[in-house]
Amino acid sequence: MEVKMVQEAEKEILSCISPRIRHMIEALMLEGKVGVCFGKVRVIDTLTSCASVHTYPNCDRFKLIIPYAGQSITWEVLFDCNHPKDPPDFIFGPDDDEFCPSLEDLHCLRDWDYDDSRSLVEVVAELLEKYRHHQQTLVERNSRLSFDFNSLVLQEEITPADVEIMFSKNEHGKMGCVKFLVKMSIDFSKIPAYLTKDNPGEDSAMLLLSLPSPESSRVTPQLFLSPKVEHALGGSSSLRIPNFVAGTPLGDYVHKVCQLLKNKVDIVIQGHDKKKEYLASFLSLYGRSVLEYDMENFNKMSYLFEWNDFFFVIIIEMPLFFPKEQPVFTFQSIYHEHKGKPYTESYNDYPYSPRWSGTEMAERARSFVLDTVGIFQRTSVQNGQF
Amino acid sequence: MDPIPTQSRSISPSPNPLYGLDSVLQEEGIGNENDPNVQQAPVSVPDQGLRRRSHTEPVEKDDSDFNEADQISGITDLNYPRVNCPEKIVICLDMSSEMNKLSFRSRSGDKFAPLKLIKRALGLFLQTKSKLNHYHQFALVIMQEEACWVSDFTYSAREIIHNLEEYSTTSECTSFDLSTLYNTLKENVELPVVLGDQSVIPPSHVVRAIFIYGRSQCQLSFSDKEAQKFLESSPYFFLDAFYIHEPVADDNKCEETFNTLCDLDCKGLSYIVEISRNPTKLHDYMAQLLAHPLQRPLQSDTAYKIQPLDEIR
Repeated sequence: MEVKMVQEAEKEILSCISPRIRHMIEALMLEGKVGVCFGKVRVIDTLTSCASVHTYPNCDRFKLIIPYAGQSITWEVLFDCNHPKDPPDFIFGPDDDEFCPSLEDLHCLRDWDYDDSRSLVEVVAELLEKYRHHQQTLVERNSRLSFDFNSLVLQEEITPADVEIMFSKNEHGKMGCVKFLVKMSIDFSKIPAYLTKDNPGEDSAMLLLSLPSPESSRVTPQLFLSPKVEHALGGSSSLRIPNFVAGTPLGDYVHKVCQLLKNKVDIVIQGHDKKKEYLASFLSLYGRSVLEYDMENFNKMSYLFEWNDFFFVIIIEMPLFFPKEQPVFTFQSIYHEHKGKPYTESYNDYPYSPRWSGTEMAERARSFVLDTVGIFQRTSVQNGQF
Repeated sequence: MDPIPTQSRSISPSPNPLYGLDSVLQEEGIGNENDPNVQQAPVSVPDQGLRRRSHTEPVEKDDSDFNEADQISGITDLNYPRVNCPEKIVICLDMSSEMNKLSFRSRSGDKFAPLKLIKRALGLFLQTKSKLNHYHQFALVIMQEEACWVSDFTYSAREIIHNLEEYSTTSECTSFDLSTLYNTLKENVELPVVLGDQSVIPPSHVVRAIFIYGRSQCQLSFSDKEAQKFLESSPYFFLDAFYIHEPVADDNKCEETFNTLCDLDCKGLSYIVEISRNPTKLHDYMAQLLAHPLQRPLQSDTAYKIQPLDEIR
């Protein structure tokens, strides 16, 4: 089991907190991951309620920075180190006057257990959910935003708990910029392990949709993927989201992006099996002249061939989105060098169809190699040194 | 002739770890004479009558007799998965004066010394090997009267090539005791240890010595086989041999030397090549040594010719 440790900065903060309540704040630092983005909660600005200086450390009040809707909200938490077993009080942000959940609804505060170090974590999570719900009710007052919100939760991939909404007030005190942070439920679990092993961590995909004002039809979308997922799907360059067409219900747009991601995941998963099939086909035809092949990820293989007494090496490299993208064939000379390296020619536009079976691809590769080797021989002799 | 039965194993006797692809390969029946897809291996006729002694029996084998069961019976202790783990390759280069004799002749009539050609071919070999997997490592042993470890393992092909350039002086040698080679190897290489099922768990690396020997006049001796026994007891140690020699004649020791080299192939997994006179062939054989020892077919099973399907049928 992984032993989690608080980080250095957190250790400092923790050391200021009264030992009577410290166990709960420590649990918050280690395990306090909340919200749609499953982000960490930060503790800052520790203060004490005690007038006298008799026992130190004795901080029992602090601020929490909680990630929410792509930004953060700040709540004050107030313990009393002289009555450590009492549950804490909370003060919410100045813009959240209307957010006032009743005690009856807050199970974690009602059934506060001082001895359970997770009590604070649970109360924060519960309050955050209430806050999220509160924002939802505010949204529902505005017919346009309500329409958008409903379009979101209509999608099968999205539940209300997956949507965090944030308003900011503009200079006139009215509703200004509105942000929707939407968690997309996509199954990334079947992505082959080799694509994720260097980037451990969670799988997550979120869309942040920003409106400059509730009436605006201009929506700015941003896609957030956890490093593990981003890397496995080919990096940010291969993950372009479509432009937001003004007037599109938010739900429709999110659904479109979800589909895009799901397709990418499917391509990557199927690609893995296809690569295996491709490798097996090649080995069954050309295994007697194989040099090396990637037995782990099926991404590369090489052969030594002889044609009219001319020997040459073929290196085949598989692209991420195989079979949609075709493998790269590199001819390499075993006789000639060019600028100090073996002379090579690479091809990725030979006759190819992703619909061919592995065997067909291997046979067609033979034809391609035979059609090209003569040219390669000539150019390697012309351009290379022996 | 009786029809060859469909082979129940893949090309090498070791278990085929291509998870679920076993059936694909079995049905293709590699080596089956009736299979039109199989590349026909040319009957091997080495130059100057140097015939590689089969590991199991002295009979000649040609392709129609090819039967994997025969191959299996002669081979001991094959126990590894066919993974392309990193190789630690030790280039063992003979620096006797015979390596500097202008015995190679190209078609245009130019004469070359084997040493120069080998260095070139090694340069191409090392760079290609690095390109196939940049985790391969290379070391250098120089042999005159004895074997001497001169360059430790490095990932850099360039470094070894550079170090090779440093060695150009050859000397007259009267003998070479193979024990010094094996002792040097034993002292300087680390063989991986695999705990658990060796046929499935991949080793961290394999060690391959490429023994490049160029003497026709002085016979190889082998006084003490302890180090060889030790190294050969590991399934992850391989020795390939590259013998450069004069045309076989009564007054030289080519045949005996070649036989000694073939005897070094304890497990039947080595690639042993011999060459004289032909610079192109020297490069061809060096390229054949590119093949990964855990994945390559047995030398007798290799077939490099690529030709249109209709020419095979």
